Formats: sequence, C-alpha cells, structure tokens
Amino acid sequence: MNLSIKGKAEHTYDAIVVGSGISGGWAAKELTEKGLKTLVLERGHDIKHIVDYKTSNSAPWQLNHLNKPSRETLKQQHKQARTGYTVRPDAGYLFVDDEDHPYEEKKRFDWMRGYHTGGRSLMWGKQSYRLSPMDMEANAKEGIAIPWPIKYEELAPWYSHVEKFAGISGSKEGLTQLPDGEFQPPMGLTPAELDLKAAIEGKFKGRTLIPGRVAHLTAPTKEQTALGRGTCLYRNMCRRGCPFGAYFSSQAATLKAAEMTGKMTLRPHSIVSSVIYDDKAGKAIGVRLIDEITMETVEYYAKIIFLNASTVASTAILMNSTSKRYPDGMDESGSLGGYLMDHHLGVGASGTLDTHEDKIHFGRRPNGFYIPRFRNFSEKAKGDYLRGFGYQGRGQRQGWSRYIGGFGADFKKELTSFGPWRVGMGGFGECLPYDNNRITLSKEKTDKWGLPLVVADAEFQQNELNMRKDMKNDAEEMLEAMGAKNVRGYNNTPSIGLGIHEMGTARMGSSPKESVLNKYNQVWGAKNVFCTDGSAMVSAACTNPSLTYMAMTARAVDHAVSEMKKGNL
Amino acid sequence: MKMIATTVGGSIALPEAVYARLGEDLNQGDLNFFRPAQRAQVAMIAEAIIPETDTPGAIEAGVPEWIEVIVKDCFEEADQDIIIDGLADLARRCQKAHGKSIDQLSGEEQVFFLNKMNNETQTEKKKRAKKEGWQRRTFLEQFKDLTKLCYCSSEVGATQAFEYHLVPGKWVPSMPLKPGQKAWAM
Repeated sequence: MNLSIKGKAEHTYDAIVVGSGISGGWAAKELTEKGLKTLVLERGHDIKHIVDYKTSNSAPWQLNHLNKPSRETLKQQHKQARTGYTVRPDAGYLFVDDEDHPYEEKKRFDWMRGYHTGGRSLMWGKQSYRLSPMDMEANAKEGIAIPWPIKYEELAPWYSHVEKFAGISGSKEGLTQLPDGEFQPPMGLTPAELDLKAAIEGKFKGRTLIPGRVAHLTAPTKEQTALGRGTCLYRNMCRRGCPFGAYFSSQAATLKAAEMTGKMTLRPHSIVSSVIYDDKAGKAIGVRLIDEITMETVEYYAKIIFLNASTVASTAILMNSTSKRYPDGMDESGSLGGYLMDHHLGVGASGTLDTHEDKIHFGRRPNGFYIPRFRNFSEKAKGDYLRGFGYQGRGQRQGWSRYIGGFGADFKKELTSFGPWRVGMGGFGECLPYDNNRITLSKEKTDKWGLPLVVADAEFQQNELNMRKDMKNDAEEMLEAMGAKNVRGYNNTPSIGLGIHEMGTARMGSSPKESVLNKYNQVWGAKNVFCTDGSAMVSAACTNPSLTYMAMTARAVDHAVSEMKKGNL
Repeated sequence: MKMIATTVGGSIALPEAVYARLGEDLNQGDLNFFRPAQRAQVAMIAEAIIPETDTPGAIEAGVPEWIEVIVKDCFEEADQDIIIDGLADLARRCQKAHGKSIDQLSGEEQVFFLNKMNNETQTEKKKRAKKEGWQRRTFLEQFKDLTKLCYCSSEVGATQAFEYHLVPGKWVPSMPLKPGQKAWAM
C-alpha cells in the first residue's frame, strides 16, 4: 500500500496495543501514563462506559423472554451457549455471534469471546488471586513442560501495583499457597459459610475457607473515586456492565485512566491480521489490520507493539505474521500454538442445612467463599496426579428457583418464603501444559475478513481426570463434616474452554529454542513485540488467572519503556 | 406492565381479563401460538398452580402471556408439542376424574387433581424410561416451572409476593428473619 509521508505520520504512534480487554487496557494505561502516544486497536464495536450497558438497570420483567435464550439466539450463538449462562438476554449481546466468528474443532473447544471495547473484562468473574511461588516452581520441580523464566518474587511488586489500582476485596490470611495482596475490606461470610469454615479447619489440618478475593471496590481509594468509580452496591448484575464502575473493567478503570492522559487513541472495528516485521532491522515496525466494516487493509506503525488480543487470538496473529525470518509465523521454537490450558471445572458437591432457620442475608454478593488448594500441598493426593485444585462456593438461603413440590396456595406460600440454607462448592483444577494440546490455523477455511480460521485440537488428559475424583470426594467430605444434609456430588465431563480461562499457546521461557516469549514477554527475535495476555502462561495453577495478566502487562510495559529510553528497542 | 384492576375473586378469572392487559409491554402480534381455547386453559392452569391469596395470582401477574411468548420463542419443537398435547391431556383427565373442566373445580379440588395427574404422569414417564431410556420432562413439570419462572420474574410477583430490591446498596451476611418476612425476589 502507498502512503504519503504525511499519511504515514498520521498512522504512526509511539506504541500500539492490540486488544482492549483486561490486559490490553492495562497496557494502554501504563504506556500512556509513561507519556507514550498509544493507539489501542479493538476488533469489535465500541462500548462506552455506562451509556452502552443496555440492560444494566433492567428489572427481571424488562428482559426479553424473562431472560431465557430464544431458539434464534441459541442458533446464532450455538458455541457461546455451551456454558449455559452466557447467551441469556441480560448479557448475551456481549458474546460473539458464532455464525460471524467461526472456528474449527478437531476436539471440542468452548471458546467464549466478547468482541467489543473492554473485551471480557466486562463479563469476567472478577475472582482475583495471585499465583504462588509453589505454582511458579512446579514445572521445574516436576520436569513438566518448561520452567517459568521468572520467580514469584519478580512478579510480586507488580501484583501489588495492579491490585492497588484495580481494587481487590479480600482478607489477609498468611497462606503460602495463596499469597496475600493489597486488599480492600472483604465481603463477609454467611453463618453457613462460617460453619463450613469451622468444620473444615477443625477436621482437616491445613485446610481453610476464606472470603473470595474479587475485583470489586468495597472502600474506594481517592485514585479510584477520581476515575468515577464507586463502591459495590451488591446488585450482582455485574455481567451487564456496572453503572457505578464498582468492579474492575477496562472501561471503568484502565481505559478511563488512559483516556485521561490525552495520549490514547482507540480505534474500534480493527481486526489485526499480522505484525509487520522488518527483516533488515530485526524488529517489528507496525501492524496490519482489516477494518471490520469497510474490509479495507490498513497499516499502523509504532516503536512498541503489545499483543493483548487474548489467548489463542494473539497466537493466531503471531502465526499469521510471516516474513523472511519467520516463514511460518513469529516463532522459532515450535511451541507456538502448543500447551493450551484451561481450568477444569464442573465437579464438586452441594448440600442443605437444617440450622440457622431464623437467619437470612441481605443484598446480592457478587462473590462467595474460596477454599485454597490443599492437595499435593498440605495433604498428598489420594489418586495419581500432580498439582491440585481450589473450590469456589456459596452458603446462602435458597431462592424461588429451588424445587418445591405440590400446587396451589401451599405451594405458593413456600415459594415466596426463604428456602433452607444451601452450601455448594465447585472445584477449579489445574491443567498441565501438554505439547499436543494445540491450536493451528486452517489452511483451507477463512472467516468473512479472509483470515484463516483457528483450529483447536486439545483436551483434558489423564492427570486432570484423575484429579477430579478427589475434587468430588473432598467436597462431599467437607460438607458432611459440617453436618450438611442431602449431600450430592457431581462430576460432569469437562471440556477445554468452559472455564473461560484459556491459557498458553505462546509461552514465556528462558530460551528461543523452547519458547515464543522471553522473561519480559518479548517475542524472541522481535524484541519490540510483547504479548502479555493469557497466551504467555507457562503453567496454569488452579486459581483464576486475570490478575496475573494484569501484573505481567504492567511489568512488561515498565521494561519496554525503560528499554526504549535506553535505545534498545 | 400496565395494571388494570380486575376482581379475580374466589374463582378463576376469565381469559378476557388476560387480554385486557395486553399491548403495553408485550406485542399482541406475538401472542399467536395458542388457539383461543388453549390460551384460556393456560391461564386457568397457571392460576391453579399459583392462585390469588393475600397476594396476586398468576393471571394478575401476566403469567399466561409470558408463558405463550416463551413457549413460542424459546421452547424446542418437541417441548412445544408436549405443552400442546399436555393441555388436551389435562382436559381429558380432568373430565374423567371430576366430570368438569379445571376452572370449574374448587381450589382444593384443583390441587388434588394436579397432584394426582402429576403422580400418574410421573409413573408413566418412569415406565417409558425403562423401555426407551431418556425422556423429556412431562407437561406438568414444564408447565409448573414455567409458571413459577414467569410469576417470580413478573413485576407483580416480584414486587408484591416477594421483596424486590434493584439496588440493595449493602451486603449483610446475617440478620434475623422477622415473622412474615417475604423472600427476596432476586
């Protein structure tokens, strides 16, 4: 394409960020706050904070079909529907149309995507945990895949940095397997949860139960208030967008901060197809994108490029970025596309209590309790597996959706009364990084923008399946220990993607022979290209990963800007 | 939903009362799934499941309209058939057992009949499952759940039969349950 010098100057920034979700928002904030003129490219449409959250104040009766997905929706979003909750009328419009955004599945892959400003930071679960030293040392100790190129201690100050800004509600517990962070006050536990905590701590040495750590403001700082963010008002309608900016999203927090610097330009409808690599200079000079609406190819140029398109999507861009040096995409190790991970879930137990009938709770807490990992930590695994799992759960009074027998006035009376306390917990298990859990690009099929389709070929393997027996049994055992009645365990067949925690496929490492990225998330051989979303993960741990992407991103930006100032990029 | 005062009284209101409130939130053109006789039956069964007591019943809450829209737009064809066939089946069973239609029964008789039909259809389902394996949920299972969903999500149900807070403002993990306290709508 021919651009005049003026045209080229108009298309040139100090930095380009591809993606505006959890990690892209952080890259935008950190880069602009360090004074860099930054272009943020979002592949989908723009969603403005508050004004574009169409259902955020809707009452149940104001939602289409009383919030049941229609047959039409289930057809258009047949893959997004696989979670069972993502395509309901309240927030289904924030998930992609599968007809427009296809991918291939050699094995089932549940790829839940949100293509709009803010990405999945609008719909995320907000549970926010640090990886622990144990998590980051496990690969090296066990000889699994490759070691993390960084230690927990190198990431710890960056966790603090992002926690202070994002606002994480939680309690300091002094646990080795789940390091404390910079917390705002925790959300209190219910009587049922406190009973479970007492039973667990009394009967199982080394196990505990804590309030979930969640990216919600419970005591906003001045910095947060200045962005227009307020304290959580316990509506638990978060997935529709928060009109109070109480939970962390790109819109409410990072993009807002970036916008306030006056240094950010956001370009929606910008589907980045590849990084432009200059073989002579040995680095990237910009990115090529396809305008979602006009279908035109456009180029933008910058000294620093951050790929934050999300796990799999960033990898697809790297694979599609071919040059003389990288004829098959930006990788010389053979690891690009490999080691796809997710947390395996859909296993746990629940039961009811016949106590505390005289107590209720008020408000809708967007959170619950957390039981940190104990298997292969304080207690050995019962089965044959490495690593472990944590539980997320709740102990609350049952609402009207519970089963109630009968008909007529008696049925109605029970329906409109508080149900018994129910305690339920679901496991989140670590998935090992496997070479053969891969994504590739289709050689035959393309999407409507002419980009090759992603092909997924991955599944949970024996280690994960073995772990699930403990995940079910331990949950049942703990509920029985607290005296719960009608304890029922479950263990559904897990599939990759359903945790919506895709990780890996462009891992970090200490050598270009075995990894795509170095210890600062720079692409080996193209040091001005950084990838700091979930693609970079070397192992999965069993905790929710977004906080780690935030910390990695802030750390990488710090490195990028300091290297740029030294003239090294 | 716009409210029009209706006296439901002790018996089941006629479906005219249902039509009277159409047209505000719901597009009347959308209500073309049931035939008029079926629409009347839907209203009567819903009201028998959730009758007017000290709080409004299913009809006043607009449940029949919601049922029609949801069955039409959200149900799979096989489940739509179960609803349509179930309405006829219920009418037959009611005639056989009581020699009357369900709206002509007293409240107590309605509950007796619905429980009886539920037991019978559950037994029949179990028998079929033994031979054929997995079975779809019965008419009464589906219809009752739908009535419940529509009632509890409706403005009338949520705000009058339950206590409704769009913005609770705080989280209180434990407080005493006061006598007569209505459950939270959500």
